[in-house]
Amino acid sequence: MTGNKFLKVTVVIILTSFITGCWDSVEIQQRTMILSVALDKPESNNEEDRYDMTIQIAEPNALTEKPIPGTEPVWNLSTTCPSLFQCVRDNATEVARPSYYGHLQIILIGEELAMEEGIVDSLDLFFRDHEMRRRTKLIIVKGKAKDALETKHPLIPISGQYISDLTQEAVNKTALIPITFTVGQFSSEHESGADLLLPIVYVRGNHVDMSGGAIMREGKLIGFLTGEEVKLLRVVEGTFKKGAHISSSDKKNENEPSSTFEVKGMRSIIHTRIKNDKPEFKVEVLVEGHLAEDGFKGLISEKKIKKMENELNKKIKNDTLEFIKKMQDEYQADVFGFGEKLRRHEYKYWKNVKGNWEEAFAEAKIEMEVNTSIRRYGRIKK
Amino acid sequence: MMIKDKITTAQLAVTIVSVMVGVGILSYPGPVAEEAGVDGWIGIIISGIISLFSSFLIISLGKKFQYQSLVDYGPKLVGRYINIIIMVCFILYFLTFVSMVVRISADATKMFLLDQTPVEVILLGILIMSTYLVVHGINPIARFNESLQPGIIFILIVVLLLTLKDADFGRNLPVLGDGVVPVMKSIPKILFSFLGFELLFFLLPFLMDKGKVKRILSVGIIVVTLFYTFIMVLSISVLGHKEVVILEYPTIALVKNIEVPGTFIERLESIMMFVWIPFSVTTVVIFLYGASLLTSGLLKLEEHRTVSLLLFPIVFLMAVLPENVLQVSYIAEKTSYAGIGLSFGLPLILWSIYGLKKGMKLL
Amino acid sequence: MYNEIVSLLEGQSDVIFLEKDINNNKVIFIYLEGFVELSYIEDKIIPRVASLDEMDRSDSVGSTEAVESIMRGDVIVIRGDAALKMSGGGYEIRSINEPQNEAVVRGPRDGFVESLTTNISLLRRRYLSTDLKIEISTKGERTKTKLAIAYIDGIVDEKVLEKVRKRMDSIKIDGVLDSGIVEQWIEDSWYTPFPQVQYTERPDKVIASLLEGRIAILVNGTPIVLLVPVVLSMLFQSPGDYYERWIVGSSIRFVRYSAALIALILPSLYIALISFHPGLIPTKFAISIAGTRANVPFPSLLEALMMEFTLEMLREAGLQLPKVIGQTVGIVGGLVIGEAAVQAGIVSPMMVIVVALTAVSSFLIPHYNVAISFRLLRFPLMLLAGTVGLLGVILGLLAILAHLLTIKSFGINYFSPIAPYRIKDWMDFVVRGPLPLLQNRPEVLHNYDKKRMDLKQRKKGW
Repeated sequence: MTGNKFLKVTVVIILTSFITGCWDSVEIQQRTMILSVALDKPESNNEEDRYDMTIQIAEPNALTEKPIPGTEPVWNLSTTCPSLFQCVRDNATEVARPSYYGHLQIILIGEELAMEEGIVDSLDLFFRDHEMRRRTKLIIVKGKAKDALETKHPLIPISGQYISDLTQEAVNKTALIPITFTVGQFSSEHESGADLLLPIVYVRGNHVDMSGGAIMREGKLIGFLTGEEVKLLRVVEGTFKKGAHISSSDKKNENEPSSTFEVKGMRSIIHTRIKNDKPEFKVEVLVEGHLAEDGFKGLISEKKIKKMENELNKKIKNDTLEFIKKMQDEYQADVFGFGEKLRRHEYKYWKNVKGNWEEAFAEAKIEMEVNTSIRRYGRIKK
Repeated sequence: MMIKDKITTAQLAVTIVSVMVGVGILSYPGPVAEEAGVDGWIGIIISGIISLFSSFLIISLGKKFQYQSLVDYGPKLVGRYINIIIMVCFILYFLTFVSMVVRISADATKMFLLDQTPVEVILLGILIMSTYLVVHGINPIARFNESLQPGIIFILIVVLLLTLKDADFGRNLPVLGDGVVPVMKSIPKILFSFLGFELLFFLLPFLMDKGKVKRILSVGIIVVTLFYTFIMVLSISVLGHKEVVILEYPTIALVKNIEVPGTFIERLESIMMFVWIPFSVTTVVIFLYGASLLTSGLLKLEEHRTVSLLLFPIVFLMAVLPENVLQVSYIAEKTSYAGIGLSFGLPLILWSIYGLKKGMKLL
Repeated sequence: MYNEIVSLLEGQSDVIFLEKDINNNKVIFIYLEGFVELSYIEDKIIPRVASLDEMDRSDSVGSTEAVESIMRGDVIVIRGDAALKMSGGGYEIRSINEPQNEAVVRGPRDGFVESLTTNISLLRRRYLSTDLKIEISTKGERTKTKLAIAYIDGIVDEKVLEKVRKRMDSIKIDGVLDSGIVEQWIEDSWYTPFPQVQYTERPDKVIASLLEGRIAILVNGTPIVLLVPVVLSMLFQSPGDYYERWIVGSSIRFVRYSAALIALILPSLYIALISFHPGLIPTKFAISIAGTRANVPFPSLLEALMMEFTLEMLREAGLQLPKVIGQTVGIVGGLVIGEAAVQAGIVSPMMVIVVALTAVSSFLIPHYNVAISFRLLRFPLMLLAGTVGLLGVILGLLAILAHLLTIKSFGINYFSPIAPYRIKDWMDFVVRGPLPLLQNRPEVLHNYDKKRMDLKQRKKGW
């Protein structure tokens, strides 16, 4: 029977492959797990060196209950080189085990490098290589990127891991950093040609502070936004989902205690219109949430809630419009995605302005309508 | 040819679906988005309709000849020698197609999971597995597809649904912003992904119950069309159409976007492996079976087993031959054009010959 | 006549020739020691012989038949020229006990014994209609073992029955000591690890199978009864599933199928993830595994093979030893070796968990022979995983699937409710459907009578 003969041949082939096989087999403990990478502009004057790459290696054994004495949980290793792949190879001469980038959590990029060189060239490797994840976080560091890795945190010994966790938390809870924070998201937005924001981290002594955004145009850093500004951006995007706060206090009257409002849900709709060959946008924002803090300013009543809602509406609207104006005038950077809206709904017009959208955006008329609802006010009625 | 094994209509439909849904699923959004931009889904639906039409032509033609195989009724239509030429074309096409499918899936596997392993080993693994099934004939093959295909399509859909969190369906707008021309241009590239139903030329005689074949087959082709449309729309919604164009395997990138924290397997690419290897194995199995069936039919052999064992080294050599990925895609593209000719052109030509001969009362 | 029998029985020291004087006639009783009690002859047979005035010549048996009856435990009475066959009153058999390998929580407690007649009577006690047919034949060139085929006329598929008869007739072997010999003779293919015949010690299970339209093969001298044909899904069923309510039955089945999958792929998945694709494990988990494996000198493949092999040794040792010691060996071996191996840094704690899980999982499969085949198949899968990682696991699983699809049991597709797809049979597959959904017999068996129950009356009334 041919079937049997085939079976025998197969068995022989498979057995020989067992003997010669295992090309890719490297035990998990023998790999060097690189959890974070920091990229900077080198300080040396060597013309050829374009990057200063710091990798953070985690030693899992040092994190177990019974570590081998003398091992440390993290090791930061810097090299300078003309291309990143070369950096990776150069590192291999210093580390005793094969390096593995499959668990890369975070890529930190120094301010200087991002401003002068742009980050696209350096990210090529991370896009191309199969080991890399699309969910690796991409963060701009104010100052030197390697300093962020040198910080020590009492909660988690691996600083890269700590910053990574912090990012996740900041995106969801405080809304102080932009929603595009991974390599994959950056790649998608960058390819579509839009200006975008990346999260920014400040190194303060031995700890880090994550708040604000870096404006990226064609892969280059062109400016910074504060955390509060990023919050407003997320109001326009409607991605400011929950947990974060908006204070309704008026800055002019500082004696009066402020009321704080906890956002539980938000939705935004951007309407587009072409009038007189100029784009017009109307942003409609629906906000929903709880009263978080009021400073015991008196009993809650229907009327008071209405009043607070109106105050909030006005406050959000004014702040946001102010911020949009700033973006239009100062950076001409459409980080809000108005251009994308035009592409979707006014494609013919978009095709004409695509080339110089920055100017067109600067002149676009933008209106805002905010509708806040305070649903609950907590355990006390005061 | 002796027909001992019989398969049900549902099995035939699943088999055709399995051949159509092959490794192409990993990469087709790329070329389609390159041509048609965000309107790729329209092109996919049109291609689905074209494929449906072509497969109906093949079935109706078979029906005129009592559901025989093209090997048997071909001589009556076009004469013995031209029929032999057509058969040889089919055999060559099947073999090249099989070897390219194996090579592409081996390359993808090597790229994502087995960096150091020689591609020959991966090829050999997939081919041995497939040939084991091929020598057992159409019945286990049909059952293999039947038991595997619905499951993996289901798993793939569930996995893809997890990306909905990042999806912005507005990215698929505007509809027909650049007019119909780009969509029309994209159709040949999509038709590649629908290749496979030409096997109906040869599988019809195996049918147990011939009545409902058109109805059930159209369900199959509609499922494939919807499935393709779904992946296309989803990949544009998640990645944006510009990103889809530059990615080699957009579907895998789509899945790479998912991370499920708190489970034993965090990244779902591994589940993609469980999907694309079976996809390519089912395609390889049926095309290889088709090739050995035709060869044995041409040589007037009783059974196909020996032939399929002889074809095994040929396919392996053909798959190893291309030097790099670009060559592979070059050959794959050329093969697909041949496939388009054989599966969309040939039925039309045969039908017109049939009409002519019928008109001249030669049949 | 007497001389003929004596010459045929030459060399048989345990044959007893008992001479008695009854009514002044010399009567010789010939029987086997241990088969017939002396007191039985004195109390039952002698009075009967005495009551016969004259031996009826027509009842006399030939010498060959006489010898055969002696061998079966009958008594041959010789008076003058005539040889008369009389029942020996039966020999001692094991009493009916609960089968130890197939205990159920809920359900009947009786099990088959070694005697064919008792076993058949156990079936008859449960099935009182006459359409339960039993065909007895003798197989074994030398041992002359009695075999019986049982089926229900009117349900069973004639084609399958014909196949069973044909294969049973073809048995030409010196001895049939257990139904296992019959199984291996009549099975469809010998080179697969999967059993194509089901076996049981439980009469209720046999009757349930007969009612599904299957055929039972009983062999004298063994409590193991064979059931044919069988599909893989039937080997995951236990009678308890049907006696419990359907939600309970279904959830147990679900656990069982998952366990089978775990037993098959867990070690190979572990190898693939640890040695080939650590990127697929969550980062924090990967770090902690890498930490615990820091001192392990072996690659995960070797580690897994070692531990899984140790496990198989412990299991086999537990079976060979007397029950009490067997349990001790299991516990001591499992706990002590596992703990010590981790302490010594030969294996990682994760590996011990994996091995323990596969072991427990494989015990959940109700049929020992399938459990073994699943346990066996995990070794090639581990080797494949150790060579090409996840690709090996996938190709291995596909090969197992392809192989399952080529197996047939008496012409019935082994992988049936899935392929060929039979939607009706899915009600009794991974889930055990509620009673109203089990109205039909399994479609795969092509039963003559498909309807099982009539629920019309049930819906009226209450």
